[in-house]
Amino acid sequence: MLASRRSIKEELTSHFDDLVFELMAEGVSRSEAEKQASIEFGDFEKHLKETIAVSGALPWSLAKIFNGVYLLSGLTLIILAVGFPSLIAGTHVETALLWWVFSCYLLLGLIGERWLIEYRGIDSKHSVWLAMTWTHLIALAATVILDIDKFENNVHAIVFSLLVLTPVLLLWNKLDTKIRRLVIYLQTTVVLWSIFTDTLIFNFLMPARCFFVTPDNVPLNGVLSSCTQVQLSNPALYPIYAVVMLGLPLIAVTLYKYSRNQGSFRYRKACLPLLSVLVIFVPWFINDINNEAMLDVISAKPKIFAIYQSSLGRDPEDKDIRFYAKTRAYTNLDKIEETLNASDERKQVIQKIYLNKTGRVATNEEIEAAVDSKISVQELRASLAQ
Amino acid sequence: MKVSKELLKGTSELIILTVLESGTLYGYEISKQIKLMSEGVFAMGEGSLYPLLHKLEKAKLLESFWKEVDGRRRKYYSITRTGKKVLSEKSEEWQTFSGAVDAIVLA
Repeated sequence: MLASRRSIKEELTSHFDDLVFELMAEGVSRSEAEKQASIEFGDFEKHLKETIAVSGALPWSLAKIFNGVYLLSGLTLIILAVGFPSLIAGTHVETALLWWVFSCYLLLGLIGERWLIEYRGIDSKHSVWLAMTWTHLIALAATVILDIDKFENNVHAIVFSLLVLTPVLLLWNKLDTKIRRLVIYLQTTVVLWSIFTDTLIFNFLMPARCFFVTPDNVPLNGVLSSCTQVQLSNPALYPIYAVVMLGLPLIAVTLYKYSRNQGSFRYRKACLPLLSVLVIFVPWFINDINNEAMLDVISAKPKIFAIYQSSLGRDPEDKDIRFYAKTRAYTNLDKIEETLNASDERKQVIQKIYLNKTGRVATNEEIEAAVDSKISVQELRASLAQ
Repeated sequence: MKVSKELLKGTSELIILTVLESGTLYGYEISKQIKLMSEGVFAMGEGSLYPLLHKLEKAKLLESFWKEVDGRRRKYYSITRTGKKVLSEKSEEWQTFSGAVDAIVLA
């Protein structure tokens, strides 16, 4: 584990405190003990600087630059995605932004885990449970924040974590610490990836049956009408309850202890508990973000834009995208293409192209031939221009 | 009698690896253990102990973890497999070196 500047400072402070306590145990007063310890210890700042230089810890300025670049890239993506949504590049930017959000969750998961592991020590088996709990709390928060609403993914992910981490615990003493860390971090990455990409980990064993948690029991409409409604009391949701009921107090107690440590720092006292509270409670305030599946449709947008350009020679309007999202039609792009090809608008576009390029009205046969051939409007223009 | 810093410099890695071979210790314990084992001859100051510990950790000869004991957080170090291998090589090297020095000085 490469040290951070903060942890090196804490380590040296702890050594200094040990010197003070030893002197006090010999009967020296605290102030005198601190004075003697200072002489024995030498120049604290100099030792700190030398140790940091050797350890390769990230200097503050670099950490700030990294954070700045990360936030700046997110901000740039937001501006591009919101400012230029009608450009095809804009739709790719939206996808990039979505992955940026995923990387935020992943970083939150991995950094939180690292703090918890560092606190308990990688030698402690508790680290594994803490890491797993933290991962699943983040995954549940992502499910609610992004309004994915498919808690089935979380159940699969929890089972996956148990299957992966149980052998690690059984072989604990035989495994190198590097392997332990690697397994924990991989487990987190796979879990968050499965939630974010809406992938069921054990799809090959148990195909998705589209469970929807509907506590109010409002009937599901449209494409969701084939889904099974799941009540909150359904045993399938018990693993989720277990994680929340056991995990929340566990993480809260750990963070409380962590923040009370000697030599602790302001960020640990304020930021960590705040972060934990935000992760849990923010979802409840913004859980309508994906009610019309506008997040889900993002990955299909570039293709929808391309289909519109090819069939009608224009970009889709916002209302079109909303319609495809709401009806989940974006999951069947071939159908969208087929509908657009057969639309009256396409026939009118073809007619206009004939008028512009040949100076005459196209016959019905010519229009039908163009529709049947699925030729793009760009290709049609080019062929008529020759 | 204390030995000069220069003499200690060349052997400090060997000393730390040897101390940690017997178990997991934190910085303060390591410095106490060195003093104890050398019967007060070696006293590695904090200024050289921590840079060295971090250097060995970076070289993957040591590994570390944080642990809370009696309400205090401490960073514990332990020797890695690579560290044990390097220790055995350095010990052998030291035996050869000290034997040769003895042969000359005590002749």
